[in-house]
Amino acid sequence: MDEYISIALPKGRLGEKVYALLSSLGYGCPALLEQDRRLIFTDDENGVRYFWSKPSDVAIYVERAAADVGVVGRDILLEYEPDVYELLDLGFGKCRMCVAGLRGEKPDPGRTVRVATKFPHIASEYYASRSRDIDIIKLNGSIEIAPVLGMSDVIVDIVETGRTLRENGLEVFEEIVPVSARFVANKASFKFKNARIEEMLRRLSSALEEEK
Amino acid sequence: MATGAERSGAVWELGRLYESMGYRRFKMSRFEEYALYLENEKFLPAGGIVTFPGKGGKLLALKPDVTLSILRSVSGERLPKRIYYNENVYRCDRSGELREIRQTGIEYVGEAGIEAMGEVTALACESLAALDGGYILDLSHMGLVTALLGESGLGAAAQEEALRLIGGKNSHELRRLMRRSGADEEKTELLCALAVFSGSFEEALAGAGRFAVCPAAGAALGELRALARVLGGVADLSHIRLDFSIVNDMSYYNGLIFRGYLPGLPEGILAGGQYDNLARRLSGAPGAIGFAVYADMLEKPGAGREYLADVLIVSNGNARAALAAAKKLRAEGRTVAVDAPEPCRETLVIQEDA
Repeated sequence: MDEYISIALPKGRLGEKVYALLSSLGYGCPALLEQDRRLIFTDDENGVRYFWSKPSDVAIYVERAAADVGVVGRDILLEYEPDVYELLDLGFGKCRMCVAGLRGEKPDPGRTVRVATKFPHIASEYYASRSRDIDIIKLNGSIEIAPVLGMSDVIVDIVETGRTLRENGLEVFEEIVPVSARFVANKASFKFKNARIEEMLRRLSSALEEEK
Repeated sequence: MATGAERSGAVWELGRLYESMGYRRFKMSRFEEYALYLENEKFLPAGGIVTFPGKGGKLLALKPDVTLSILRSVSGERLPKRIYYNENVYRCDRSGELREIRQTGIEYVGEAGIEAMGEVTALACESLAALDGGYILDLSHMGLVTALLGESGLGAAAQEEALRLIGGKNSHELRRLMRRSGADEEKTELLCALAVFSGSFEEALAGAGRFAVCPAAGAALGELRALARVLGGVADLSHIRLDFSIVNDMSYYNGLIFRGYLPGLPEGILAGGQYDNLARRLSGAPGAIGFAVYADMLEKPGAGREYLADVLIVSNGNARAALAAAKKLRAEGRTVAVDAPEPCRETLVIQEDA
């Protein structure tokens, strides 16, 4: 096959699920499942090239055409607003982008809200749309601890089951947007490898339709 | 695929191509009043502008754009005016760093009828072909997109959001947006179909009839059909695609728009379209159509393998023979490098006893 499609997958459960789906649709690459130190995995027969990436980097690889297509959460797309085509909502990897804080301690609308988050862009857009003044505290992980330690009034973060929140005495105050995994493509790759990307999109759409 | 060096070289030749079609060079000043850009912010590509105070406290800007200045310069002149430019512009990138961007392009200022559209689109194709024979030019029509958004029943803010979603071929979020806004199901599906619609120019155009739901949409499709007829004789239509997800700001662009891509580049290198409203306001002309080629993109890594020169001459200590060979090869129109560490296409080794 002369035209390879390179695919960026997010490391972790979501990426594994996406690979299982793609593999069942004729885009298998058995080398991907071998535990070795290779970074890029190619399957000549199916004309695909895969690599694993940090979930928040998938969109960057696709935007810069290091990958033709990839799978990325809507949270990342909203935060970084990469210039890519968002071709399909895969409907899994579902969670919610929420505002949460200590149970029963919703912040007073009369003063600046201190917001701890990994998603400063989403948080500022959300509060700007409500004309609220906020102080953003950018963190890289364990966001839930910020209100517990009194460093922030609320957090803006993704909530899957809500268990971590409950265990730390937090609750969801508001839901900002629902989140799920999205199939994205580089805009230039979509032109030059159009037939192959459209075919991949068609197979993915019908597989998801059948699952419904 | 052409190499990065070949493409960078070819970009300087574009001026000659434009001159051969009667376009005259425009040389602009380094600075303009900031107010010009502030008033037309949405026309400019995203990115901050660098400002500084000039004489008398007037706020000046390092030029982030050339088109606005060209339009002002032709005010009151006989039309049509055909102009090309080759300028550095200054814009901040996403990370906020100031960048100098080499930009070349043309503007046809005057009634942008089918002849002007054909001329400018053909020049866009020739510009791309000069850089790489494997190019693709995507066409769309803002008149069609704006008409369908107008028919959708969405409010102004929702239309802006819908336009952004169309630009990302994001039909699933577009469908949700329209359902939330209470739009009717048929119009929702039509707009979603528009977002994902693309294909080779003639074939796609034949299948685009379903979008002619109002006179404005029908007129836009009519223009595209007329353009296909005009281009049929002068451009290789197999490089042209129709893709309605190519969108620009609705308040500036009103007609044909296009974006050009080269193999190996992650984003479009050529962008342009018809912007009659802006032309009317700044120059008094009835219309204008043009495009820019972002030459700086050719310098990015990944823009093809770089060769220093056609021939590497290994002198073996014989400078006289090496320089004589270099002179001869250069006279044949080839580029040479003597004893260079970088890769060249071919190598010529001078014998030690030569």
